[in-house]
Amino acid sequence: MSFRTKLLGFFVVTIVAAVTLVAWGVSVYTRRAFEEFDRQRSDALVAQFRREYAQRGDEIAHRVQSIADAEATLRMAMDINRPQADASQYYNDARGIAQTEQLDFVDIVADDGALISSSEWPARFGYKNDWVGAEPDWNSKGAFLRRVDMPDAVDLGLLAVRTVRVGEKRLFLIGGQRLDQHFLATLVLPEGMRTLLYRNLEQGFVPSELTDPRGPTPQPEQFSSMITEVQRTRHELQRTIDSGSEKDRTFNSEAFDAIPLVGREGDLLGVLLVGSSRQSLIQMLNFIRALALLVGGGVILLGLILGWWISARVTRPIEELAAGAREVAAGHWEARVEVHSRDEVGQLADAFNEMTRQLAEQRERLVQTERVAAWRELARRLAHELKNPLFPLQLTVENLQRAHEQTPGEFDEVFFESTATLREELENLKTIVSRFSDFAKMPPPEFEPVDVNELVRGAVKLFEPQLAPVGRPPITPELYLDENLPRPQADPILLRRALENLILNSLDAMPAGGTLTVRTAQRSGVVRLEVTDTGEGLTPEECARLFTPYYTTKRHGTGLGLAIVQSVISDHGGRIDVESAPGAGATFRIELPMEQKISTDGTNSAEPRPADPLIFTAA
Amino acid sequence: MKRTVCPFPAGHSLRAALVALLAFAASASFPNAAASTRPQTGGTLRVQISERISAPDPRQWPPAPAQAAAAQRIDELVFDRLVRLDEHETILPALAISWQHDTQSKRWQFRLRDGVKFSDGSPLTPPIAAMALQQLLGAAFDVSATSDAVVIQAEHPLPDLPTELATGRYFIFHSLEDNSLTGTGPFRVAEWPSTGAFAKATFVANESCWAGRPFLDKIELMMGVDPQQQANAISFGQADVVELPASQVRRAAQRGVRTASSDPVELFALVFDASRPAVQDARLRQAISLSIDRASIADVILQKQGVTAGGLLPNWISGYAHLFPPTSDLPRAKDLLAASRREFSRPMPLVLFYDSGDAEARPVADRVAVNLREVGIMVQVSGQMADGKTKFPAADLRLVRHRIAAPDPAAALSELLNSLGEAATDLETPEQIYAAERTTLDAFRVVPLVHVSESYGLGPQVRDWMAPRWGGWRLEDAWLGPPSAGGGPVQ
Repeated sequence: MSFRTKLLGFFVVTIVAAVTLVAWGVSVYTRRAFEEFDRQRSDALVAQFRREYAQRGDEIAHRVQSIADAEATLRMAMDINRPQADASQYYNDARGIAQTEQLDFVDIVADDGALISSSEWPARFGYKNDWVGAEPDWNSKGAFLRRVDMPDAVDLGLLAVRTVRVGEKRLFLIGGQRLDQHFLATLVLPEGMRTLLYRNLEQGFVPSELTDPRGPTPQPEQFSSMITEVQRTRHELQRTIDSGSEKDRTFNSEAFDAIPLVGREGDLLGVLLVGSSRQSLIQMLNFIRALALLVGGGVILLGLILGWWISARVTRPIEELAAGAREVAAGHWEARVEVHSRDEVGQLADAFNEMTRQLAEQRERLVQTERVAAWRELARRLAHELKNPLFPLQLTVENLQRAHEQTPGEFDEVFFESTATLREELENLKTIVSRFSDFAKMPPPEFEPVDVNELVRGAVKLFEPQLAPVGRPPITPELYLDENLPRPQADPILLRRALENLILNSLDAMPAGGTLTVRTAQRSGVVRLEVTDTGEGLTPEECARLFTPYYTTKRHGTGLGLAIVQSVISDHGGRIDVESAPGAGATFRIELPMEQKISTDGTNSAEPRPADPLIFTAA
Repeated sequence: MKRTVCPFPAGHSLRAALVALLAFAASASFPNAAASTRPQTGGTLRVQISERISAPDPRQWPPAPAQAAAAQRIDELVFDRLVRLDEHETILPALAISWQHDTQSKRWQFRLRDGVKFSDGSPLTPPIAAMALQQLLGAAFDVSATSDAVVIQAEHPLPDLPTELATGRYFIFHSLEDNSLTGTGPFRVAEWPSTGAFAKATFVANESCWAGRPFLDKIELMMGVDPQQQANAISFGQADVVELPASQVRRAAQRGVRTASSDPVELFALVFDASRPAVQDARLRQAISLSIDRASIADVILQKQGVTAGGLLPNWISGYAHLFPPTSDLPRAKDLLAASRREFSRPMPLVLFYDSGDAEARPVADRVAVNLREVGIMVQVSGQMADGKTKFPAADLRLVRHRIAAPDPAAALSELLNSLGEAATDLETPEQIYAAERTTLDAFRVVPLVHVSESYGLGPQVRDWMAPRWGGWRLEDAWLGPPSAGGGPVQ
């Protein structure tokens, strides 16, 4: 991931987190504020309903009082309280009074509690209403809730009782209105508010007893727990009821206040549910949420654009620096970056440019130094190589001169011996020169499919005499060859030469005998070749310099064998490394690519691995 | 051949004699009001009734009792029967002036009055009368005509044939070419409402009526008027004659309305459906009978216009109703209910149906339900139209209101038992009539509740309201005079 991407990601994460945090905070604060507002509104509505309910009770009491105050009622009371009065003529009066006063219930009850006339259940005339006689002063009492027996059911009624006294006898007038859906429909309620009535006439929750102004309430089960709780505690309760489909659940949310309705004896006769629609609140919250999402999305989008612009602006000089560094790493020491500013990045660019300049100068000096050192080493090696044959030459010539001067009779014999020695030493000099010449004239490889296993077998066979020399401990060859080894593109002659050098190097490392192990295998698209000896092993320092030309640990080595091997493998686009430790032998490992990219000029374009041409591992 | 002779030679003179007698009685009782009680000819009588009749046609009487009663009253304005009943249930001549039968009462011959004409001017002839009666009596009877009489013959004895012909729909009519009917009654139809139109019918006096021209020139009959509207109309002078439900009579009288009531001619009774398992136990039915407070129904709901009924026929018809005293005994009712081992709770109540077209049936049914609840029987009261065409749907018991059309006990009981689905045979002697009623009541399949009178509200101008004691009108004798003060029952 690039620095620009990271920086852009950082900007995005930061902006999104900040916007989300702010939006969440605004949402929470707004919701709480609106819920508090809704709570206050709901409380106000409930209070308004209570006033309406109380006012309705007062109206009922007033109407019943007006019935009691009527002259006809007084005459009725006087007539009924006469001895042997005939109350049957008033049998239908309650119905007319109820219609006139717009009351659902009107009962006219005699002093002994006998029902004279009833609007809601006329057929009950003559039956006793004992409860009405228990209260001594009804005229000072307000309306109350009571169960009202009907022919086929039981109703809830908001009742008021008034009395007309004639002498010691009283005439009771009971009037009221039915507490049902029609009663709910007459309540004046603000918009967004509705009322439900649960008539608590039976044990438990009975769904059919829950009504709203339009009739039975749809989905009454959702109020079950609320009503059951009120039945249990008989206290007010507030809950939010969600209705409707799952999809728009919150849209149909309502806050309900459950108000227990109790009778004169404290019995729970009903539960009034005052619902305040949270629709407007939900709509407002949804609007705010949508607005927050819109603003947040916009801010995030703007932040993305700005972040991209800023990150591009910030990372451009750094990317130029990275590109410059990559060019330097690729060997282009002249790489420079453009300085756009004088800030830290500009100073870094300046420092980079200064660094590359100094690196170039130091590399030039190093090249000069190494060139001098190489020449010195070459001179030293040449001097060393040439000095050995030159010294016998000098001695032979001096011996030949001395024999000519001191013993002329023996001169011929000495002459022939000396010339033979001179010829032998000159041959040595010629061999030395030829080796140096061969190293200098390494030919380019000619690639063709090569059977590496066959190459190994041939090389090992070549060294069979050296494996079992006379007078020396033998060396045991062990071959572990992958018979399914594919044929890589290689130059068989150069590869055979490199392999022979490795085998010869291993044989030289085992003067006291041992085991020579050669392995071939296929690994990740390359052919691996390992040559292992059980010799004395190498130190890490020796491993580090092992492939350096003219470096040798042997007494009579030229230091060019492993250098040639490394050169051949490098020309094949492969790699070679050595794994060794003192006393533990050494393993040379070659990896050759399967395919060679041959350029039009016939040279190998297989990418060598400049970063790790040689890997030395010291165990 | 037994022969019965008309006590009066002619109908016209009969009515004249009656009117003269009444006028004399009135003048004797109220000498100062003699001028005002003298019948006056002319005027339009405005009448309102609850029912609506499709046409004045005896052949098409509606099966519902209330509608049949209304049809009878209307037909009596237009048509005459061969014979009629007086206040003492004596058979009097009408279109027939004499009648005779054979020894087995299977063949009856009614001699027609001479000179009778239909309201369109055509004469009444024996063939026309025979044709009308044949249509009304049906194929079980053979009705033929002689030169001056109508002969009715049947396979079985017809001892009460004159009584039957004096009541019911056995009117003499003549079919005209336009399929309308004309009669010999005191009025003829001047205007009849078409279907769906305003239900106002107009009758005008039949100038050529054989019994003499009625005093009224015209009758405007409003049909299908709600009882409460009728009560208001009579109170505000918008009608001269209205029907008054029994429960309204007392209140109407208190408001100053003149009222007239017949003897009890209607029976409220509970009829059990014997096919329903819930009420097959006679002990349960008896318990229900003992649970009902009939006095409250008669005195309160019906405002003293009814009398408690222990028997099917009112005492003025049967004479033995005191042998069936209405009894209310709640403890015994509870014992019988316990013995029947039946329970009727709210989820599984008894179903009681009543005629929802009868304004007084609902409170009576409700009261019955209240009474039964006292002994632990829950009753579901449901209204259902009993128009005669559609029967009551499945109910354990139903509240019926039966109108006793004839004052003859045998005919009345026979008709009553037939309408209640009970067997009615051999009702010739008083002992047989009593035994049949006793058998029916002892089975408790029918529980009588109250007998109710038929009542009318009369305007202050209506004079000589001489309706029969078994109900109905007799508008040919009524006339309109100056308004009279004071309300209450017409004496």
